[in-house]
Amino acid sequence: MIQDKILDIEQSVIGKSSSPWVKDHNDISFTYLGMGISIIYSLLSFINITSDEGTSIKVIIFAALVFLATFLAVYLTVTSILKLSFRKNPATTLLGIISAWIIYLVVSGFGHFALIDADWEVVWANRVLVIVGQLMTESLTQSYLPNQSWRLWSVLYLTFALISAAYGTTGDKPYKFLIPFTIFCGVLIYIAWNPTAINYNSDEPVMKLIGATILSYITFGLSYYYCSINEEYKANKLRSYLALSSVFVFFFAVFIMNPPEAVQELCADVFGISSSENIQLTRCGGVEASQWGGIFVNLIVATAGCVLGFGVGVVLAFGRQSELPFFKYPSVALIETVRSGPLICWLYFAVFLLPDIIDPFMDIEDIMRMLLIFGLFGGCYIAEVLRGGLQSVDSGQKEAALALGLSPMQTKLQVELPNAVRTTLPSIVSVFIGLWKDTTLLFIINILDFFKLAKDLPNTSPGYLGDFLEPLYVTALVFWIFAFYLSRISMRIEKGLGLTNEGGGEAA
Amino acid sequence: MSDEVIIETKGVKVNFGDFWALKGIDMEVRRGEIIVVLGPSGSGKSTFIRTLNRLQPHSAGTVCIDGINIDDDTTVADLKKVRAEVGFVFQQFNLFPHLTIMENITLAPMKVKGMSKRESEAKALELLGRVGIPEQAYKYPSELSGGQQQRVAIARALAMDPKIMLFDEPTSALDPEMIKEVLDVMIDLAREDVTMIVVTHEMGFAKEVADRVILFDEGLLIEENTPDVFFDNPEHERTKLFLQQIL
Repeated sequence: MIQDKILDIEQSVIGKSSSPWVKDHNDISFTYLGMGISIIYSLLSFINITSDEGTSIKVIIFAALVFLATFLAVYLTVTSILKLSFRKNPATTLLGIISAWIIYLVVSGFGHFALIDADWEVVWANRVLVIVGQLMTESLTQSYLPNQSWRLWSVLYLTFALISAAYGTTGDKPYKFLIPFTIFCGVLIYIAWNPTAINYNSDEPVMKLIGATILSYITFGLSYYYCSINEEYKANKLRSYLALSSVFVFFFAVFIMNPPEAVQELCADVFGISSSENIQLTRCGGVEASQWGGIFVNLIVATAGCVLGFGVGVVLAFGRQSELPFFKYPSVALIETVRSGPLICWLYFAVFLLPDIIDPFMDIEDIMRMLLIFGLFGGCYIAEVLRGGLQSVDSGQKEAALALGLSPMQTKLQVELPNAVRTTLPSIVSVFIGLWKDTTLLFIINILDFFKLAKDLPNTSPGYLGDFLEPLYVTALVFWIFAFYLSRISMRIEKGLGLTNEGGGEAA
Repeated sequence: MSDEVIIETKGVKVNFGDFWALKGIDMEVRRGEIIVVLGPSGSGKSTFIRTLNRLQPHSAGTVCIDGINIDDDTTVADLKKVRAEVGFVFQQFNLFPHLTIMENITLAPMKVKGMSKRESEAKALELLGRVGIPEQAYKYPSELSGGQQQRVAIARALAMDPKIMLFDEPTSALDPEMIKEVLDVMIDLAREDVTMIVVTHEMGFAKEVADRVILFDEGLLIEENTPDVFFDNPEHERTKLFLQQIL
């Protein structure tokens, strides 16, 4: 049984054996022989590493990884020679062996860097900085600034609650959400707690993260329960309310991080802070947008691209199809202009030219203008995606709505748009992924985003000079995680669309 | 059936480029009348009933629905009034796939007539009962069979309390075993005081409920007669030929 499994896997990688001395009954013996030789060789390399690098836990893990990779590569090579597999299908065999050796190279090379060469302390010591930016870090670690972290926590709590509630509406088995989510929260808590190179009180963030996790469990449970006792259409309703709330959370985040001055003054009145004090240095003052930094900036700008972009996209998509010339041609002009320029140009445009040509934009801060530009840029791409979706909506849908007496506007909003969004969601999500990665461009206009901060981490202390690779690897990993997560969501949506038979008449 | 004329068309012509789908149709329909339109495919019968609520603008002639003349100059409000008064059932059902059955039916009463949600839902349930599928109210169209979808489409049109119902080959996209359930609903409807124009190939339906049967061919109205005369003793050679081919 297990022998057949092993042979199956082996044959799928290096192909069937084709030598005169290998028969069905002794096939597995040659596999064992190859494995035996490989184990001896791999053990030698294991001992070699441990004798060279010492026996700390990291070295043992590295040696074990190299052991596995060496075993695989040598075993496949030796076995294919023993069985002469390459005689039958040389391409398969060659590909299998080369892949195994590439895996060996990657594991030994990257493992050596990650586990032995690298000094991750530069990242651990600055983890707060790369997440929330300079001023927030100071307010956490220094006493001369009021602690403003509650502003971020409130956004984080809302986001967690919303996302887990949204998962509750999917109708999947609860463990499919709970297990990955618990692991994710565990990692976050570990990152907050890890006592290496810590310069802040870790109890508070750890407790708050645990709180956020529990809150997420509760909202997940509630929405899961609600959806399980109600029909599907109510779950769909709940889902669209949650989508609307996420738009609200975006505006809430912008508001709570940097409330308008009137709100700040009102707050100062309520808490009895005398007007002689500098309001920015009290707990009532927000965090000015120019002081935002870290991964928070990437997230908020990307979200602006998605939220504002979707709104702009809908308007422009309809504009492009409109028959009214004063609506149509500006839309076409805007889409074609914005789409044909690189994002970097538009960022420079927003920073240097926009204040000169449009008065109201003079006083607002760079990041706010970035939010708008990302919204516009994303919107133009989404408009084109949506236009394709609108064109593919069955004309019968429009006729049915018109025949019922709905006005052309109602027809567009109630019937055509929902249909178009449903079919184009996967493409819209890939626009979102693009926007998320494009947020790293913010660093060229001196906004201290995650990438810029991580890139400059080696300069934070003489002890870290030269450790420039470690932060970049972490940056890559973080961006990959978010983008991968988004693409999984998009795949889920695609699957959901494929499962049901859409389109009424065509199904019959 | 009263003597009041509710639909009146004079010399209605429709062209698609050089092709004239309708070459001048004169017709009068009185309130409560049931009319079945027959004809080979491409004869313009679907195009004709689509001109009656301006899904298909006509290029010449006049169309007058319940005293309102519809053409390019018709105001938006008048057109909306006509469309709310004229129910239309499509061959391909055209239910909205993103809405539940209930939402499909209540959408227009709420958006066009400004009915309250509660009122329109009560009405939708009553209509679903009438077409025999009250238990499907909270499903999505894709979960229903073709016959059920078409019955929902009829209920959706009826929710606007139309004076006129137009059916554009309502059973042509259905599997044979589902045709009867839809025809039964239509026969029920014919007994009430609703004016109906039905484009169909169902001869049984025409014989049973029609007040008048009309034959279209090549964009012209060839013959209109009572079902007895039309099927047993038609006046025109073309009608005889048509009946021979399909019976």
